[in-house]
Amino acid sequence: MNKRVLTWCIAAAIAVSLGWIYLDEEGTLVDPPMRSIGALEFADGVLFAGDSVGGTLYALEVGSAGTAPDEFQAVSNLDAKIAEMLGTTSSEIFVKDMAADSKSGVAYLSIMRGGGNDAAPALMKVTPDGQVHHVDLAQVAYTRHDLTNAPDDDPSERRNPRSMTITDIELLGDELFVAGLSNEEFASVMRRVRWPFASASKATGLEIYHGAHAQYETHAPIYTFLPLVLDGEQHLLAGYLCTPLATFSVEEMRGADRMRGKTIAELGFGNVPIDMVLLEQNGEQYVLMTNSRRGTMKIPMSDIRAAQSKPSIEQEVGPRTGVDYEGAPLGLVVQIDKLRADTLLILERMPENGALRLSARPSEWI
Amino acid sequence: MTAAATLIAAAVSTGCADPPADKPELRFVGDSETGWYVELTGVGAGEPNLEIYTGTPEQLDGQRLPVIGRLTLDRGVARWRPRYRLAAGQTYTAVWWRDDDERLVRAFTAPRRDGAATTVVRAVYPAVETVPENLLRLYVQFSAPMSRGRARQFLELVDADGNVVSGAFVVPEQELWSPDGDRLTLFFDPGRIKQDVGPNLALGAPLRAGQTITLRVSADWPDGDSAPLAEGFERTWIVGPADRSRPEAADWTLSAPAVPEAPVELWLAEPLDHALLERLITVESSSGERVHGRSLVSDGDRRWAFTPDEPWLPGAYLLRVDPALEDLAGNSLSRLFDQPFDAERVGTPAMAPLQLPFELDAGAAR
Repeated sequence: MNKRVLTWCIAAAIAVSLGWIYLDEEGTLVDPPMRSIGALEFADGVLFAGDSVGGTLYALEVGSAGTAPDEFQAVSNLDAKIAEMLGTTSSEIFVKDMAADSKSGVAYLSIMRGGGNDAAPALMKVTPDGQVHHVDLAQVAYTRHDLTNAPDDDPSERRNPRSMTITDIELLGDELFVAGLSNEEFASVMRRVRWPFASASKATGLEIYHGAHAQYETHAPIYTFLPLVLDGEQHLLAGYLCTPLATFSVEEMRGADRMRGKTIAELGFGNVPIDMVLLEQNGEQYVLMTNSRRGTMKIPMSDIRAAQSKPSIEQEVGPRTGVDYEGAPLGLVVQIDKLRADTLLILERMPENGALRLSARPSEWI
Repeated sequence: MTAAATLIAAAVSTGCADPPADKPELRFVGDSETGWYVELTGVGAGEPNLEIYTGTPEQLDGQRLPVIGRLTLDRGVARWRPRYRLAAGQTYTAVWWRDDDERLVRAFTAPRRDGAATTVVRAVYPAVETVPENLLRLYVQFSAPMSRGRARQFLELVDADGNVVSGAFVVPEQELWSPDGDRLTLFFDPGRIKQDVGPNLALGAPLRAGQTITLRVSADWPDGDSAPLAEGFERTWIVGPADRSRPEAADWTLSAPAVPEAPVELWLAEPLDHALLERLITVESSSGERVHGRSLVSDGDRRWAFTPDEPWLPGAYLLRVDPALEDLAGNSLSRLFDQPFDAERVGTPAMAPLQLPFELDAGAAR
């Protein structure tokens, strides 16, 4: 063995001992034991990723290098490019979520490659120069938090579903909020996990009155949510299936095993909300919400504040009640995130060929 | 390749070698079990220019991105291994070049596995003939893991006239699979099963008392190994009146095991949710220790039986039933599906686990 190889071996050994990268006995790179990848949340160089199949939350230390330039080069045919890099066809590429690092201007995309027994989680990133990169999960330091193994001393955990599709993750201070959808109970549980991971997670069962369904639904799962300050107090604004919007006081949630939220709006049935971001335009704030079937809604914060000051909707109401909204001039949005205070990053399906295009758009255009 | 990957690649290779001066050769090697890789020989020492692309040589237009993989050098043999397994049925092209005039191109289609169609729908739950009009969910149990993300293409619900009921299920975008990938959960839209509310009036109820409903599973649905199902599947239910009452434990019959190897049985007055029955009833010994064993739900989801891993010992036991256990319409032991949560009831017997004692006397235990 020559000196150079020896030096490399020592360096590799140090890297392995630090737990940064993972090798098997034959020296092959090993992935984290991630079975799937879905919901993403980025904060301070850490990418949080939900593994629904494994029932685990990962904190991937991807870092954040450089300063974002003003421009973000749009990428056309992104699904084809990812498919080429991962050695498959576009129909085998499932884009699950997108999260932007505002500091470096990088967009992260969680991908499932394939749907069968060989299905593998993959992480891609698009840099502001429009280049698509593969982030090798085997080379990213991580910590993980098990969401399924409930501690015996927490009775609320006994009701936790056996498998949970993690629908959304948000970091608020040092606490991660994780919303999910069970495959057995039509349940609504919001989990709170301390970051950095240390102790067991806490869960609160949530329910709301669903005005379009004229009934209480403990069961309705949250698909997307956004931390908002309302009346000077931290809240979560949650979007539900068939589209009620509800608010939950974070303070109250911290002290309760179960709680009822305030239904502030009904935005139409036959629809699944996908993403929410806060938008600022000419000094006014809006919540921009993308949907499976009802386009992208631009909801004035002033409406949300006004609805918050009223009692919860608790009788049957029509499909456009509580807050007003206008349709945002956007196409078929697949994923959305905030790139900067004044810029959105939008992944959309193009009408002419159905391909995915990633581009940045100034908030004032929306 | 990142610096870390280069470092590892160098560390695990043996470093220096004497290159054989053979004719350059490029080929795909391996098998479907361990995966395929590319081998390049006869090109001397040093890192060769070798890229692998998806598609045939004719499809390489200079725009395509190379497949992500890792190159190792070992005694003049260069091996390129894909980061993700080469996909069965996909064509790849390997290209090696040196200077302008020396170039090798090899195309390869990873063989499909023998593709024997063996997977079937093993069961559909509820395993009953008549379902309530407000049925909350169905489970489709396959004999082996299935491919994910394709349910909408291969599964449909058909009404008595043979018309497809569109949008009957609540979560078309999110497929809810068991962690093993062999059981799919389908939730009906609660807004469509409740009478006289917006979605129901606008779209019609998917289930109407007195009619029939048929679930059809196409034989073309690829399983986890990309093989189609051995056969299609159809199940028809009669739709009965809505169930708007809670299951009553007082109507259940508990039957203690007659011999140490026999199961403890619970006969229910009405069918309950199959998956929740299997999971939410546990057995404890008199000292409060969990008895491990296997639950089996049979007889039209009306019989729950538990056989311990070790034969019963004489003594007192307890069945602990989680009040979250639900009937087919989502009414649990503690509340109706659309009843609001009542904070006053927390900690009361109504919300506590139901405890059903039974005893095995010394005679039965021999």
